[in-house]
Amino acid sequence: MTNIPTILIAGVFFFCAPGFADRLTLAEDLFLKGEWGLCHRECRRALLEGEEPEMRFRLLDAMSAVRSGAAAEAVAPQLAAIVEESREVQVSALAAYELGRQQWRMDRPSEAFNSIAMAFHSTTNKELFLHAACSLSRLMKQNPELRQNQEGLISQINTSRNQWYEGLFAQCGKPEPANHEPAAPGWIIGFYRSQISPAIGDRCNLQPSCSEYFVEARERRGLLAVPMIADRFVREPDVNRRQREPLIMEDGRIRYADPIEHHDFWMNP
Amino acid sequence: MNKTPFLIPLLVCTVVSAHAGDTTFSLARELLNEKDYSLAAVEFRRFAMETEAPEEVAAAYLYAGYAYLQAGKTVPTREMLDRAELADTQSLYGNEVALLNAERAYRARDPESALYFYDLLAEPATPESLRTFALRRSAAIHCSRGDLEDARRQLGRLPDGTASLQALDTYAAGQDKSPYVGGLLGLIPGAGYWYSGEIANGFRSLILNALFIYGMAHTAYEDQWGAFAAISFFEVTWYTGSIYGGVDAAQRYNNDRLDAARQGIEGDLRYQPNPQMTLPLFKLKIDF
Repeated sequence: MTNIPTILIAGVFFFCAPGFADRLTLAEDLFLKGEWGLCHRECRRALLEGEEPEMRFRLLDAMSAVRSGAAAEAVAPQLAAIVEESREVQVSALAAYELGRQQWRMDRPSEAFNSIAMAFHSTTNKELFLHAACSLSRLMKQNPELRQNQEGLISQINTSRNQWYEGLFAQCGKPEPANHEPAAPGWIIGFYRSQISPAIGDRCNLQPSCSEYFVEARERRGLLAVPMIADRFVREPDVNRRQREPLIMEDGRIRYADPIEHHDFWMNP
Repeated sequence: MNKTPFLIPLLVCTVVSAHAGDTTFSLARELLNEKDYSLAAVEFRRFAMETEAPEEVAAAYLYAGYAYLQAGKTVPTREMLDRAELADTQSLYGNEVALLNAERAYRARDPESALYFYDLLAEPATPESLRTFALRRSAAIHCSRGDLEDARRQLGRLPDGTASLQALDTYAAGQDKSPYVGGLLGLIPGAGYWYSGEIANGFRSLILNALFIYGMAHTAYEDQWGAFAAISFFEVTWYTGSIYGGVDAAQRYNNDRLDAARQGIEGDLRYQPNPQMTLPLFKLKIDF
C-alpha cells in the first residue's frame, strides 16, 4: 500500500526538523522513494546501534513496515508505544494518525477515531491536519454512531474543508490490506490452470507462460489480450526454434523469454 | 588511456581513506560485485555521509549513481550524480558525471538529454576511449531517431569507424515494413506474417483459421448451433490474432532491424568502475 500523502506528511515533518542525523536523512530519503524494505533495514540498523533520535527511527520503521505489507496487528502496538513514549509532539501526532489508520484497517472504528482525533488536535503540520480531518470525516460517515456528542470536532473539521484538495478525499478512505498478489486470473484462466493444465502437463516453453501472458496482457491492454494470445500461440514454435534469450528456471528447465513488452512496445503506454 | 590526471586524487585518497568508513566502502563494493545494486547504492550513500574528504564524497555518490543506474532506477541516479557534482569541488569527475548522466538519460528514454551529454563527451579534449564511446552511442541514438545523416557525421569523427559506418549503410539500404500494410494483409489469415518474412507463422495462422472456418461452416450446415457458437468464439480469436500478428510482426521486423544496426554501430560497448581502484576513487573502465 503506497499512501502518498502520508509520505508527504513524513517528508514535510522530518525535513523541517532541525539538526537531524545523517542516517535519519538516508532513512527518510529511502522512505520517500518508496524503498520500504531498505528503509526498514536502515532504521533497524540505527536502532540496534543506539542512534538518536530513536523515536523517529521507530516511527519510520513502523511506517515502512506498514507499506511493505506488514499486518496491522503487528504494527499497531509499535505505533501505540511511540504515541505513548515520544516527547516530540509532531512524532506522536504522526504516530497517532498512523495508528488510527491501522485500527481502522482492523475494523476498530472507535479506537481509530480516538487516535486520529488525537493527531488532529495535537499536530501543527498542515498536511497532517488536513489528512486527519478528512480521515475523521470519512470514518464518521462510515460509522455514524461516532458522531454522537462530537459537535465541536465536527465543526472544526468542517472549517478545514475549504482547504481539502483533489485527491485528498480518496487517500483518506479506509486503508485496504496490503495486497502483493497479482490480479485474479479470471475464470477462464482459473479453469485452465486448475483443470486442464494438470492433465496435459506444463507444455509452454516460453517465459512468461501463455496463461501468465494472457493475464498480463488483459491487465495492460484489456480486450486486445485476445488477439495477443492468439498471436502468441501462432508464434510459440518459432520462438522455441530460434532459442533467443534462454532463461533457466528454478526447477532447472530452460524457457525462452517472450515478455509482453516485446509485443506492445509500439502501443501507447 | 592517460591515467596521469587520476594520480593526484589517488594519492590524496590513500591518505584520507584510512578510517572506519573503509568497511562500509568495502561492503558496498562487494555488494556491487554481487550485483545487489540497490543495497550497494545505500552502502555507498552511507559511506558518503561517513567520510569528510570532498573527493571521496563525490566518488561515493558516483558509485551510488552507478549502482542505481544498474538497478534501473534513473530518478535516484540523477539525484546521486547531482550530489557528486556538488561535492566534486576539484572537478575530478566531470567526464564520469557526464557519461553516467548520458547513460541515465538513454535508459530513461530521453534522447535529447542523452545527446547533450554525449556531445559534451565527444569534444577532442576528452580521453579517446570515452570519446569513442560517446560518438558511437550518439550515432546509435541518431539512427534510432531516423537522423541517418547526423549518425553518419558522428561516426565520421571516429578514428576508425569503418565497421560502424558499414552497419549504418546496411541499415540505410534496407526498408522498414509498414504496420498498416501488415494489419491490412492480416485480414487474409497468415498474409500479415508473410509480409514481414515470418513464413511458418503465416502458415500456422492460415491452417488454424481454415480449420475453424471449416468447423463453423460444417456445424452451421448440420444445424448444430451450440457447437457453431463455441467454434466461432475461437475463430474470432484466431482471426483477430492474424490481424494483430500482421501489425506486430511488422513492428518486430523494424525493431530487429534497428537493433541490429544499433549493435553494429555501438559494437560491444561496456563501462564499469575500474576494479583496480580499491580506494574510493571513481573511475570508469570502458571496453569495446
